[in-house]
Amino acid sequence: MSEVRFGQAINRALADAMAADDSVVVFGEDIAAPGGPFGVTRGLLDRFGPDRVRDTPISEAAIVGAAVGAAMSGLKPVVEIMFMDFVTLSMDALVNQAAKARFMFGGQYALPMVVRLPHGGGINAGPQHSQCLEAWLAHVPGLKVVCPATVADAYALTRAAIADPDPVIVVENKSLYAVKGELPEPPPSASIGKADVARPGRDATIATYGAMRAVALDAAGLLAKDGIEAEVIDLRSLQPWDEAAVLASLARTHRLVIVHEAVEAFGVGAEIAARMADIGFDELDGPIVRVGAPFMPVPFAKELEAHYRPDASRIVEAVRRTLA
Amino acid sequence: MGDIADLLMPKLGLTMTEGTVARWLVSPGQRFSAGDIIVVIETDKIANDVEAPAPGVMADLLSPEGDVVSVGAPIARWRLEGVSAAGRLATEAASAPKKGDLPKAARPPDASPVSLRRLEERIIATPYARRLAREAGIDLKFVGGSGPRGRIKAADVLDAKGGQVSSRQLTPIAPAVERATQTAPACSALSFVSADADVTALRALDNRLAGASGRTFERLTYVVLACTRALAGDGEEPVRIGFDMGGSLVAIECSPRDTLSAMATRIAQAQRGGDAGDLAIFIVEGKTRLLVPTVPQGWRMALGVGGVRAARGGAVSHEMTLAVSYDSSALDHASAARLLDDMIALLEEPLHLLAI
Repeated sequence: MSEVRFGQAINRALADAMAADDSVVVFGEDIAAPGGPFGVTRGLLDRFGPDRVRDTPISEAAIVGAAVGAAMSGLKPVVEIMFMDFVTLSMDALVNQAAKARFMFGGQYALPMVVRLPHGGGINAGPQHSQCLEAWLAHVPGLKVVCPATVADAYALTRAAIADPDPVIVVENKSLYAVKGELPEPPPSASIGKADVARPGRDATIATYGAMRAVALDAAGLLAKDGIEAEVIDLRSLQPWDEAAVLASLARTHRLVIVHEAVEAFGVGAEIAARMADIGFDELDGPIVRVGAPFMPVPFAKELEAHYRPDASRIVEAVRRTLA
Repeated sequence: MGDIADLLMPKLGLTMTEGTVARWLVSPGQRFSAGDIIVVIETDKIANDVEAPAPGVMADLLSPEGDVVSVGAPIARWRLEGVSAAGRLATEAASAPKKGDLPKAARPPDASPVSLRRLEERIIATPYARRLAREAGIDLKFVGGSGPRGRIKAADVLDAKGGQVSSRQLTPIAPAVERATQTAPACSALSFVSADADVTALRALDNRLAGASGRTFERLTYVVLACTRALAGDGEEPVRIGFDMGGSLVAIECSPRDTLSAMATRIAQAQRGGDAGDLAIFIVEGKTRLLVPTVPQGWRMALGVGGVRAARGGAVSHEMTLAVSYDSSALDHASAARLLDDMIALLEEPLHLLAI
């Protein structure tokens, strides 16, 4: 057991996967010698050499396009898009090629590729470097989307993504990179599609993922002072997501709040709310309430961004609303 | 002059399903003023005057005297000034005229009468509450909702489940009463009378008091004061009232000249578990819509205060149901009904409660 940062846990996962499997390669902008914009790939070049750890030109279309080709021809590429906002430039390779290959070629091709996408963060990076666009990708059949919230999951879900035979998007919240946490030895493994109960409770379920897990736990702490026991579910994986776990929790608490940093409208929360309103209908004892960012671009100014990102007080308010 | 509309058989009590048209006091073509008695409706229990909520003219009498008509069915056609669909008024006029409450917006003439819609109003309940009610065989019509817009939640159904009307007991008995009944068997000739009180003004008053003095009062304070004044009538004799506080029987002596603050203080300082003594009335509060307490032998009557709910069909008005249960071998129905009427009048015009 040792305390490491979230970013270091991903670094360890990449290194362990590369050590275990020669076909795992890493490439992206500034990830080799500079060690990545957030330092996540630091040291990999020295340890595994320039053939397996490559800097690319500034072309997200080329990065993901190359990853598709590499995956189809026997490698297991793990590529990084510096900011999730730039995934727009790689959408054709991701949505029309990577997500479709297994289906279109009758299962003859598996695409064991991983795209790491740093999202969100509240780091005062402006409208084009702060977005949470995971709902776009979770909407595409053929892509899996995971979003770790803890140091242990940063390791375990990255390893699970690399081991998966299909394209997996790993969404990493930029505000988490410096967060410290315990990484057990040997490091844990995880299955894609399994949620975690981050805090048990009987009065309301808060389903969340990524950086909002900690905020939801803060909110649950505040609510507990008033005798309200909120159960916090960390989804960990968004596509597929753990419908059974959320339903089981809803059947205990009969109330559901969904929290994410992404814009509330048409988001992951909308999908979960819709499913639970269907399969969990008879369990509901209050409205399903979503907490997300308002429907606007991420503001640059620190004060505005602080209002933009969901905080514990908004989650508390949402839980109180469904308990009313 | 408004459109022709139906005058509907009003629902004069929670259990009323039909009524007898006893006597018409206007004939077709006759004009009437607001407050004029239009028709006398008889139920099993009582004869009621139905007043005109607004001036108008009678068009046609559909039900002759002596006809038994289902609640909500048209018994006459009339035109009311400034009102296009007057059905809603028939119901409300019977229980308590609310003159500020006339629907101003014109409705399409062919729209179904509001009172009919009110009776068939969809009950707002959560899916889980509906499931629990289904499993327990509880009719949600008799469950008061404590959620927003009067929404019935699971907790309301569970509350009601404890107090289902059965042959053994009529209501959720407060623990104190249960204890009392161990030594004194419940009276055998239990009867009750119930009516809805519009508490919109009461809630508004409480909000204004909060704004003006930062002080709000428990619902119980208002109810105890209204009950004291109703029991005292014109007299100034103190009244001994019992109620349940956290499972203990609490009895306090109340004066009809008490202010709200004085009453709140009496209730707050009431000693638990003391000798109940000779109670005038025992008050039980609950969340269920209709709460009919039992009356232990030797006690005269009990008042059940149901949960406050948004009035069906109304976004801003709230009501609660009060029930006076009494030993019918010791008290007559008219006295109980008068007491209930007086209490409701005070609660619906709560400024009277502020006056000393």
